[in-house]
Amino acid sequence: MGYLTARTTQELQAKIIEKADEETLILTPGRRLARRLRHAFRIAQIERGRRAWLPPKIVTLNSWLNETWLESWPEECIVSDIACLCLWKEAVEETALPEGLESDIGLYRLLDETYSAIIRHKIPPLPRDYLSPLIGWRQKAFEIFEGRLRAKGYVHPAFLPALIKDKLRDGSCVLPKQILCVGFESPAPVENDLLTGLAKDHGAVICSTESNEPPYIKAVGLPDVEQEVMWLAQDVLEKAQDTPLHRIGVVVPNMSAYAPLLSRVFQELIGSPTVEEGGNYNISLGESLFSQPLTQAALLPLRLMLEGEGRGLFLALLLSPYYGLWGRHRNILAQADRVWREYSIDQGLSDLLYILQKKKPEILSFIHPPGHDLAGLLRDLPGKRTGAGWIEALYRLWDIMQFPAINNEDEERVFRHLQEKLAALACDLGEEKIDAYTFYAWLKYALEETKVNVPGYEEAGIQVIGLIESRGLSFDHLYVVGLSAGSLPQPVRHFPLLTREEKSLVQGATIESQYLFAEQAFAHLMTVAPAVTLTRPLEEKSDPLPASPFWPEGEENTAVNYWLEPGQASLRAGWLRQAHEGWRDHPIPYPTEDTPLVPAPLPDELSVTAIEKAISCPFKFFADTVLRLSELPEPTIGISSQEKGNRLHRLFALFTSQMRKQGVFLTDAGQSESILKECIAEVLADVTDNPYWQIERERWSGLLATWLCLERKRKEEGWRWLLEEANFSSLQNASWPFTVHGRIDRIDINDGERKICCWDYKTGSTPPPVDIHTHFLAPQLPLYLLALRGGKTSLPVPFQSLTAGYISLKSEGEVQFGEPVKDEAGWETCLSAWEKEITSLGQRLSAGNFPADPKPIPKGNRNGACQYCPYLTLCTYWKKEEENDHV
Amino acid sequence: MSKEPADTQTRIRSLSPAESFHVESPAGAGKTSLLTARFIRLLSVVDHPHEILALTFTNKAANEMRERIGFLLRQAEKGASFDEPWVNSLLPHAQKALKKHARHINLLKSPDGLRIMTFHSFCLLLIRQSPWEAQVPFDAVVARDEDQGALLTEAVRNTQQQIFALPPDDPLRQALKQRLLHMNNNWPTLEAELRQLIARRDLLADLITEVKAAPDKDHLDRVLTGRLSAFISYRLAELRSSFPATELGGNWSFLRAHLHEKNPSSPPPASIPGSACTDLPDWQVIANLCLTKDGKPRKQFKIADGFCKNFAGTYWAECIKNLPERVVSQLRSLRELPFSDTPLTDLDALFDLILMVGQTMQAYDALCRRRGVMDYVELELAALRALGGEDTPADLQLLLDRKIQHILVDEFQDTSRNQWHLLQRLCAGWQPGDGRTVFIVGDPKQSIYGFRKAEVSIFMEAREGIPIPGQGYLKLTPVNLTTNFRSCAKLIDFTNEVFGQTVMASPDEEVDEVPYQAFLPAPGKEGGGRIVLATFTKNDGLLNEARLREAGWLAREVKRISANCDGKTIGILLPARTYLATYLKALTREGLKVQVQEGILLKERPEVMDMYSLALALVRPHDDLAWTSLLRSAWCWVGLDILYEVSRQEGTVWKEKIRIFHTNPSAPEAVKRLWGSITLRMSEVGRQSLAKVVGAIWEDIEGPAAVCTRFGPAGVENCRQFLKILADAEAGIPEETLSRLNLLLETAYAPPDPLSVRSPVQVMTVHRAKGLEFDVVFLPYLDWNPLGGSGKDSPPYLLERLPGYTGEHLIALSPDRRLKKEDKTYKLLKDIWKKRQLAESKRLFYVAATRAKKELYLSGLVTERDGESSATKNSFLSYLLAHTGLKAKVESMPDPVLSATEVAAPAISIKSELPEPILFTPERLPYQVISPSSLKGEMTLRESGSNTHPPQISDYHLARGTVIHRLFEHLSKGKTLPTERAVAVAMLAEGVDKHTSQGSAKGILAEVEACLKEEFCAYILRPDHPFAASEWMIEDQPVVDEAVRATETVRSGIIDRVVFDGAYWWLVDYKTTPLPSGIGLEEFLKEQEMLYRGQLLSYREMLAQQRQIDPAKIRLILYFTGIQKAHEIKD
Ligand code: SF4
Repeated sequence: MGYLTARTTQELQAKIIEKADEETLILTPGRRLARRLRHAFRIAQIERGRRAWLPPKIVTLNSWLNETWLESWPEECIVSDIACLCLWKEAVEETALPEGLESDIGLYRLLDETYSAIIRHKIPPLPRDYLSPLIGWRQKAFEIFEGRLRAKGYVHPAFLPALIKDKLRDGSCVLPKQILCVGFESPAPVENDLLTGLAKDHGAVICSTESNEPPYIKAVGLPDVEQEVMWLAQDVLEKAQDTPLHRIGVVVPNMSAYAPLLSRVFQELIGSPTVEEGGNYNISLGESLFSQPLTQAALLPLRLMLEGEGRGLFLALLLSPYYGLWGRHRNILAQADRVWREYSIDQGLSDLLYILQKKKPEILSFIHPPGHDLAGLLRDLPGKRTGAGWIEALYRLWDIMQFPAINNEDEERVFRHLQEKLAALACDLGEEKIDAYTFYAWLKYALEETKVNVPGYEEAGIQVIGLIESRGLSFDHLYVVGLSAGSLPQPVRHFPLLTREEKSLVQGATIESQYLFAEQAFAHLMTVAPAVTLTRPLEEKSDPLPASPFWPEGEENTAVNYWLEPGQASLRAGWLRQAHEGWRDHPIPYPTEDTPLVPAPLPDELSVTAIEKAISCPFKFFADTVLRLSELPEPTIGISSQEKGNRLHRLFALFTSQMRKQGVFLTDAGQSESILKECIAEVLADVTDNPYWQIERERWSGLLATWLCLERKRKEEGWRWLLEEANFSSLQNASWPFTVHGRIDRIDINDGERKICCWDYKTGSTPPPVDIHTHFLAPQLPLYLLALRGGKTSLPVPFQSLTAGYISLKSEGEVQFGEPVKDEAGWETCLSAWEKEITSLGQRLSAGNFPADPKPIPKGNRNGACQYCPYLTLCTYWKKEEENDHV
Repeated sequence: MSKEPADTQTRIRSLSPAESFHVESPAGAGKTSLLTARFIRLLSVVDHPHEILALTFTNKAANEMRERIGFLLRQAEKGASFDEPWVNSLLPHAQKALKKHARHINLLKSPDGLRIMTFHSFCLLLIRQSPWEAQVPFDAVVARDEDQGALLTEAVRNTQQQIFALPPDDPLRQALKQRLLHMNNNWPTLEAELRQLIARRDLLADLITEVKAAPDKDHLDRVLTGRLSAFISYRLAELRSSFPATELGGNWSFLRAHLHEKNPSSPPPASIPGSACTDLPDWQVIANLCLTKDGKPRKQFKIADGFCKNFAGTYWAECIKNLPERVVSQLRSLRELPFSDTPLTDLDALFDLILMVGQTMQAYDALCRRRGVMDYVELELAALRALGGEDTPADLQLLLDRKIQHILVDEFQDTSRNQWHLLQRLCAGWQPGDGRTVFIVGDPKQSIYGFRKAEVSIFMEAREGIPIPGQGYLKLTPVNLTTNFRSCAKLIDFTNEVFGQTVMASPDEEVDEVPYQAFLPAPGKEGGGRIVLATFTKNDGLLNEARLREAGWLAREVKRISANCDGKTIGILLPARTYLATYLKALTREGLKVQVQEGILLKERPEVMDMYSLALALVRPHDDLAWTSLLRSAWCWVGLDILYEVSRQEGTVWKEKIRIFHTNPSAPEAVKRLWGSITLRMSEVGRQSLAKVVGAIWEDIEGPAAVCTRFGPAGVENCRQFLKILADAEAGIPEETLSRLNLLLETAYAPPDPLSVRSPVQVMTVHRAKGLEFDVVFLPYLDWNPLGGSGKDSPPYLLERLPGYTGEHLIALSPDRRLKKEDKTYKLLKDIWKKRQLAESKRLFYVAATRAKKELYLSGLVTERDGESSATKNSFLSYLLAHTGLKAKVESMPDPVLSATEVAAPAISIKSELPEPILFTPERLPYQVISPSSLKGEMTLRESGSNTHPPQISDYHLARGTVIHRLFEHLSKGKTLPTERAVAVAMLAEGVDKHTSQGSAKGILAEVEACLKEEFCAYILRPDHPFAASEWMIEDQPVVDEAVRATETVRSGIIDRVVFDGAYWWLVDYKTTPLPSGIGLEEFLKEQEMLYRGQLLSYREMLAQQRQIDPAKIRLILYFTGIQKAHEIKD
């Protein structure tokens, strides 16, 4: 066997290029190395002054195997990934699936991975004597799968190395004069067989590095991952001052965990991966096609149908920038969401559209595509179709909805990928008709498996790569990042369908083999560059994080503090430069209070509710009443307490007025109950189908029964209902800058004692009496009484005394009539105090003072008046840092 | 005093690899060292490293142990030695272990090579090995906390929808209705209840199974009554053993006879009742006889209470008065017990609830399976399933690669019931003396994770050994460590006295109170130490003024200590987060920088709210509040006048109003800039990650500067943390990104202030401080009431473990507000629950107090009445104040006045001149590769049209072209045509569907055969030319003008066929495009020549250069396979 060895990868590459000519085949384990060698060859030709040249064939082992297979014009086809999984599906469905397993893509994949591992690692067949039920099932599935594979004329790709080896042996393949195999440090047994065969029988040369001279190593520990990456970026930037960028390599064994952070920090400190004049860096990130915003948008119609036509998804579809149909009307369309939220409609396209029809018909016309009814379009989707049928349906929807409105080349690229994948899927899924869930599952799988790389150059710019990709590459300086436990060696690969003995033969399925693999990989890394910097985080979420076993002794611990010691490299980040500028002026706190707004935009008349708000916090009043702001409501499941309260109020008003109109007394139980029933039916007429309202109706029956009891008792005490929903307005006082309007829920009279009592129904919590007579927080009852006293509500009867109270209707067990101020004298004092309170409030408001002054004051947490207030992002109260303790 | 800790021999003994131990180790006793030592000892004797399993509760503990073992092994390998005798004594064992396991050296070196792991990682390992037996999806992973919350909500809501779709009389629908009615038709409350119960479903699993098996209320009643009876019997059994031992009990028959004689109307039971639950009424009679209404032994004996005249003077009266406290408390507690034969008051509601939970559980399980995730409850249950049933335990050897011979468990006081079962299953089949050992170590006084289902009673239970089904107990030797290496003698003395005599005195094991075990200082820790107690009197009118004073005092003291710090670490430990902000502000006001662990929730920071508003506004044009908030953000602060002016602009939404307003010349610059950036970036929303768009706008408008001006570096870091979370939340669809963001923000804390990283002062909750130590510890807010408001509240349900060793749970519901009936079971459970809360709070204070090495500062609020200070009931301060002899132990400071002397806080210097950012120059590409042609390019030229057209059709042409090219290459090697099937397979391999592949193969072959018959083609394909090549790869650097190479370009191409026949070089490009209908041949050829002329000329140039030949000798041919026609391109 021929070997070509060198101390470093750079030397090895040079030797390979030296040997290579147009009659050479160079095999590599990955594409990156193949590209790298192609590039090195070109550079060598250019440097030698050649004008034109014939390059050697440099391909990955897999491509070569495929190509060689096809060149033999076989009558069997290598099964594609999805087609293979479809066969597994058939096999699984033909077996009696062990309990607890589910026939899904995950299982098909697992079977295929297990099957491939067995073949690639040349695992001998299992003895038939004892098989656990699961392994027995696996064997059965394998048999069926193989039968189907054969019947369909397919070959599993795991067999390729062995098949090509056979073809080489029987001479049916023509090989080039020279074969060089590079970068195969740890091939699987079948590949090893093939490579050994090539070397032994066909003179192939195995090229590898053997370091006997360790590089210069520096090991740096940083407090956490954030600082580690920041330190790395800074060090790389410094190194880039005197090293060609493409000669700086960063190997990241745990790429999926590090990539987002690396991308962010590199973007901040360096900029985009590529610029017009060349490359800055290149991160082989490999984001999935599925995760691309364009793909996500593309799948919206399908998901909308599959996921129960949710409001959020529908809104996302209407507002998506990729759907040209709705492009110009997004601001209008967004208004639909407010309607849906207000009416708590969270699902069902027909319900969503129906409420718009009723409440905002003008929006509807913007939603429907011309000549189409959107709900109808989506309604047509369900059913079963072939894969191709589903894809056609999707394309049709896209056409109608003018998808995709593409903005740039990247999106173009993603869409092209998507189209290719769809075409392949249509082909692989074959003729079987499948439902939308199954189709979506296959589609999702196919798209997740496809990686879309962020563009970057391999020949210009700092190269940030994964461990496997680093095979055979060479750099002047190499960084290996994140060398903590779990990165090198990686955790053991999980093969639940292999027996213990089988696992011991599979690379990566045991701790030992993972360690061995990592050991080789690390040794190889040490040949990639003459100088290597290793980094690792010392802690994760404040817990110490052990190092990888390959971490050398004598680490240097350091930290990055770009606040106290801003470095030249870190200051490349725009945000940091800006922040340091701002820090010079720190602290400039928020104004403790807003400057008064003069003249005060105070309405001439305020509602009782507005006054309550102004008392609780003038700023809340300003935002709510003056600015007319309101938060976007959250749709409620069930019935919102506000809606519950509104209907109950309506019921009470209706009932009392009906009783009076019809001249029925509460003592007439039969009559009053039948009137009550009618009223309930009327109030709930439009929600009879709603299960929550059905329950609410039942809740009412208990509540109303208790209430009627209490009302009868009051009746016995001489009270009767006089008025309900009595409006008043223009309530004034010489010292108030506004008049007041409001509505009294109910007014009762005691004819004998000539007493009037007005009531406020409370379906939620009732304010404690101190809020009326001591803290002056609940103005309703006092204002009602002032209105009655001032004749703002005309009462048909004369009276001598006035009182007020709450009827608490929270639940059946909590129905009660409560008068917070016991007698009329008490009310007298209370009302004059209230007049003064409102006077001072009026003075404050009319001077344009709308401070954030919550009452009750929040204690510790966000409670008190602020608890449910939506304006905390607007007011000054929660922005103040030092001056105010919210205690 | 000897130099050796008093318990050295105990420690040495506990390393014996032949014996099992139960080790009680107080705070600071060095249990990790002990565990490490034992592990090393065991490693030196076992046959395979995987025969030892060490279980911990946290990754931190596992990592620490691994690290220490790794260190010892490395040192042993190097042959090092140390000053510490304890370490030195272990090195020979480590060396032995290395030698013994030379074959498995990779396991010893690999971080996860040794089986040192958390309980949860071990469960995962079992499941991974045996997913089928564990009945979990093969690829299931543990859900992240925030995802678990979302899953729960989804499952509960799906269940609700499914149930409402059932007919009205369906039992489930009825159950849902009844639950809702019980909760005043409030879905959120029911949802919360279901979510909680699903998260605790393992405790309820047996009841759910019972209801599933026999879905009727009577059965449930029987089950619950059975449990209650068992519990009552358990309590009565205790009394049955303690009461007869009292003087009263010993003379009961005489007392009974006396009373019967004197007052025969209501005599007490004739004899001491038994422990059956039917005996309860008799016991209650005895309890009522002996105790007053408020549960104290009677001092007065009235006839109405069942006594006789002059009873007070009798011997029995003395016996009653002198009843031991333990018996009094037992009698007292049974008065509250419900009769086991009275029906549970709200059985209907309970039944409904269990039905609902069962249904929701199913939905949750299904959802988790679909998503391939599991929560921690499922993880533990699945591991138990993997280990097999009690009767048929799985063979561990089959599950794992080795049989486990030795188990070590750290922090055993934190074990939950499931984990306890897991340990029992692992030991199934173990025999005493068979060489297998269990070593559990913990401190019951440090059990503070009740909310995570830790049951301290298990630690006590385990003293007896590990119950092995069918075999009795696997005995453990109990061992107590007594040395505390952490604290100085003064602190140890204080802790021993206050906890031993007051806080943890007379423990009630029934409610998980643990006995206090005193400890000793380590040699050399005898001197020093300071303990201060500062109390602050609450002032009626100003409720929080006292808290502010306390915070101010604390801040001053911290400042004083840190000014003469000498590297001292200071921990400020809080029992709850309620006043965290208050203490932090006080510290900040003193100019102190402190490290805060999980201090403030990120979303509560104003600068983060601004960022959040920006994200909301970008996604939701209709969110007026979000848009308005932008105007009041740190980067665009406008006054009320501007807000008002904007509100008066046209437009239905504020986004529109702001747009119009910004055109107003008087609009503030900040508003203009904000709008400018938003207009620029808005179109990226939905196309780019939301974090990128928000981040870009933030920088455009100089947000970082504005935030830093207002809130300093910490504010900027908070914003950056927000952006990071927003990036994590990215879902591709902006609305979905927002939903995920909300979930993630729920548990996201503000990162540490970057200026405080070097501060020796740390603020955290006591829970977080477990396992840490500080030179100085401050324990403020000692007036914290562990029951909080919950003491008064009635939670909607209570699910409590019944005292006794059965581990069974009982559930009861809060009385229906409509019925207002008292529910004795609920009351009983509430009592147990409250007492357990209090017991845990005592342990929490033990943990807090034992963190200190040298100084302890205690503080809290008191109320002053009649010159007496008192603190909130059940608070730690109340125990302290009740402790006799406190004054001698602490320096008391009632209402300390803040010292007037100012100590300067360490200053933080800001760099006035920033260095210039380092330069960075992009690297030019060495060259660009251009291709004269590509087959794909050819197709692209031909196919143009709608973007959204399904691509299948064009792929067919592409595939056909590729296959024909390959056939020509094949033929050119002198080979024969492949079979039709092989051609179909080749089409299939190009991604064409089966049907079309089969259909097209024949045509392709026919076309190629026709070409072969054509003269030119046949000539060209002959393999016997002086030079011939197919698919010939060639590269060059094109010449721009005479002799000047375009050094930045490499031209790379593949020529279909090159032939030198001795006279000419034929350069052939195959074209598989068929002749389109409706176009003449001449016109077609002209068009094609125009298309490909440039490409062929390039090839000619490359060939000429490479072969150094005259271009005139090269003839360029387009060969059309469909019409079998060669078309020469001439100059
Ligand atoms: S959050 Fe509090 S202070 Fe701010 S406006 Fe609302 S009530 Fe007023």
